[in-house]
Amino acid sequence: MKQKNTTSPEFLQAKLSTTPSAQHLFNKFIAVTLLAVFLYSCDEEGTVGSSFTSDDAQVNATTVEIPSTDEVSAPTFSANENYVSAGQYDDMLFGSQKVTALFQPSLSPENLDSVNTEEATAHLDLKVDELYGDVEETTDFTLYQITRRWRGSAWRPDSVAQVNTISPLGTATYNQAEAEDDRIIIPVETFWVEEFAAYFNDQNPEEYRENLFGFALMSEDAEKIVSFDVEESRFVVNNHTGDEEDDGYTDFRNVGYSLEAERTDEHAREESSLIYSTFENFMKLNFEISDEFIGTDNISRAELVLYKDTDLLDQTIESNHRRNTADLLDVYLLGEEDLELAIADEPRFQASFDEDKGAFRINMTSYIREQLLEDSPDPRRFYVIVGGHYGKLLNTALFNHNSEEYSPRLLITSVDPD
Amino acid sequence: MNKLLITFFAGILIFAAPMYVDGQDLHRSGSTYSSFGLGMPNDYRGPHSGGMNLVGTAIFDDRISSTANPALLGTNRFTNINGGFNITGYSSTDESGTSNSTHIQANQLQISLPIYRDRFGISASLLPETNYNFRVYDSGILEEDQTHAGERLNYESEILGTGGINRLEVGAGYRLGRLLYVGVAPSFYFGTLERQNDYSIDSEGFDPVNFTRKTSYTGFGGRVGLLNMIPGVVNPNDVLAIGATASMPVSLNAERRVETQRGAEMITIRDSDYYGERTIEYPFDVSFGINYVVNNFRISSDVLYQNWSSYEPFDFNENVDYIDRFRIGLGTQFSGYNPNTPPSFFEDLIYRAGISYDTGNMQINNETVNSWRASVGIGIPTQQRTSSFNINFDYGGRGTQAGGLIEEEIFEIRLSFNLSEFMFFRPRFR
Repeated sequence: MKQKNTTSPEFLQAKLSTTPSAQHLFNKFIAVTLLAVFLYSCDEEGTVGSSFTSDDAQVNATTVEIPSTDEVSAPTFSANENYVSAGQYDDMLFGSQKVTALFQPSLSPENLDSVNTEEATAHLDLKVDELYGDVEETTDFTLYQITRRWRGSAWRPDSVAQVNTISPLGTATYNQAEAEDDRIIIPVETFWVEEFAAYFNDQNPEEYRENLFGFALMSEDAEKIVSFDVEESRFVVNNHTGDEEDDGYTDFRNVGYSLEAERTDEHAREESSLIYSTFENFMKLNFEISDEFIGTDNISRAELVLYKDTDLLDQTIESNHRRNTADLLDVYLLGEEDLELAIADEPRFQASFDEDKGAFRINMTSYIREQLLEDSPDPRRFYVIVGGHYGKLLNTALFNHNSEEYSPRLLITSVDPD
Repeated sequence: MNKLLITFFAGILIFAAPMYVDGQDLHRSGSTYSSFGLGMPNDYRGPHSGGMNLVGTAIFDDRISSTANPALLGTNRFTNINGGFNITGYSSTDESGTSNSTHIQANQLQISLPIYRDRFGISASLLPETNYNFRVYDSGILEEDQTHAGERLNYESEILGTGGINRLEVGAGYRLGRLLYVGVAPSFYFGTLERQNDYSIDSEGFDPVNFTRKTSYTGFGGRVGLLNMIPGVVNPNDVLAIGATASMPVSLNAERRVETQRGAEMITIRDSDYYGERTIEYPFDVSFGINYVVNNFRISSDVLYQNWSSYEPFDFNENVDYIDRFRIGLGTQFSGYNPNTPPSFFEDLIYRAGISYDTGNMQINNETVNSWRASVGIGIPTQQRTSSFNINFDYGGRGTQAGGLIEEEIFEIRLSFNLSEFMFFRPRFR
């Protein structure tokens, strides 16, 4: 058999042509690699292996008690809030309180074209929101003229309005069971309406502001304090032209209240602090956020819990009396030097009262997680007040650090590595 | 060819080296069994031995280098670079169901130089010693007293493991006399095993939490190897090679810290002082292999023993018993290439196949986690038949569903390159 010429150029060329060069191989290597990468199947999730893989995470629920609390006070304003209050009530726990509501109607022509100087009559139409005190008794209210200018932007609960108590502007009687649509209607003397008409028809707010100051609503009966919804209340004018379209109403340029209080500690307990929405007394929480204090880094949830002394509140009010419900907690984060300005600051946290748990629970997870990253602790402290400055008297009692069972605390849920 | 080598070497170093230091992983997750101890041991030591499902203790080839036995370095005649990737798919089943995962990982990277051809060679290599990559999902219910929620809550968690132990090794092999080779290879072991836990409670107001355990290991070790060639055993053209290696136990210095991610930062929440420094003994191993070559055919077998029974993990509360590991394999290689016959693409390829059985190194719930593999592969050589591109396919199984364990079906593609040429060689022309 003839041997093939394995050294002939043709044979060698054929041999070489079937055997890949290194460059060709390199290209193929990259192509196959890329193809393999794109062709591999996607991961499908499942819990395979979870039964015997060691449990890495330990969920821990710990309680960190706030070491101490203080009672502090700060000034506040009491005008142009959502509500305003008037009346008197002697509270067994919070002392005697007398509240005078102040109203100054506005000159806004939005819902009233003009006031008939000669024929017009007017009344104060107040929407009742809540009752604080004896809900069953009938209460008499009297409207007096304010005789000196007062500024809503600077009005405080302890401010005193100058009032003409000799000549009332109007009177009204309120009984919750009988009130139509739960409103108090207080007619205003015509002479005041005439004066108001002159300023309204001229649309002269500067003169009005300097000369006509509105009226004060108060009660001499110590049965109850009534809070009114300012948004739903109005100063109504009837022009008596025979055409209803000529009648109308205005809202209020300024609304505020003054409070005369004689506090008592007769029923107070060492374990709880009396908290007043007027900032007369509220609670300061003394603690610093740190790894040592919290006890863990991996926080999933952190709640500040403050318990209401429900027993004390229930035991110090008669069965047919009622207190305004204090269902909202405001928590401020302030330096001591900022206390005076607290009322101008928005609360850092808010929480609603949990009836089932008898406590306010504030979720502070983000704040505490941020603080744990800081090199030094936040020098500010938390200040707790109920209800805030809404114009109602929302007083309550919260357990303080002296309570063994219900002291303020942080509830920490953490997921720790071991 | 020199340009190609330089380009390849630079590219692989740039691309592959960070993967080795950062835990080898390119993507996704591997076997859940790798979550124990230091991870799953790696065994393949060369582009050719992998195709035969063997460690390669006695597989000699002057065109292909391997890290199976330092004595083999004395047989090299070419400068060689080899490396590659694995793509491994797992289909895992236990009593809760089935999940699939895929893992891409870099193989060893080795460069070897023959100082004196077929007498004295050296090499440097970077290879993965263990794989620690897995992803486990879990969900369940937290009881009322485990949180402050006052009710039972659902939770979900994901544990992601990445990393492994790597070995940076330099080796030297030398031929004593005519047919006996010896080798030594000191090495540096290093690696970090990261275990990331993401935990979320299914309720409003609960933030998700994460933390990562990072355990770093470093230590020095070494191996010695022997290779004895016996020509003309049956056929005048045949060679029987007998090889053996022994590695010393490695005392790994281990440190652990725990970090959590807050925004873009990693914050340490447990530093190494919290756990204290520990010494973890990485087990010694011995291997023995035989390799019979006649013409273009070879058949080989090797057995590996690792002393895992003396291993104590960093976490004392692992619910696993470590046992000594035995791995035995049998493989074969054939090429139809004949320089005196007409060219044929398929005849010029190199064909490989093999099977192996591994007892595994652990017992869980009194069940041994053993595995088996079958592999086939081809090598595509260059025209000079010095370099090659290799593709290997593996299919195998690991574990069992008994005792609440996982049964895995394994599919693997191994892609590797082997570049060899004469370097520092001045050609002579007549």
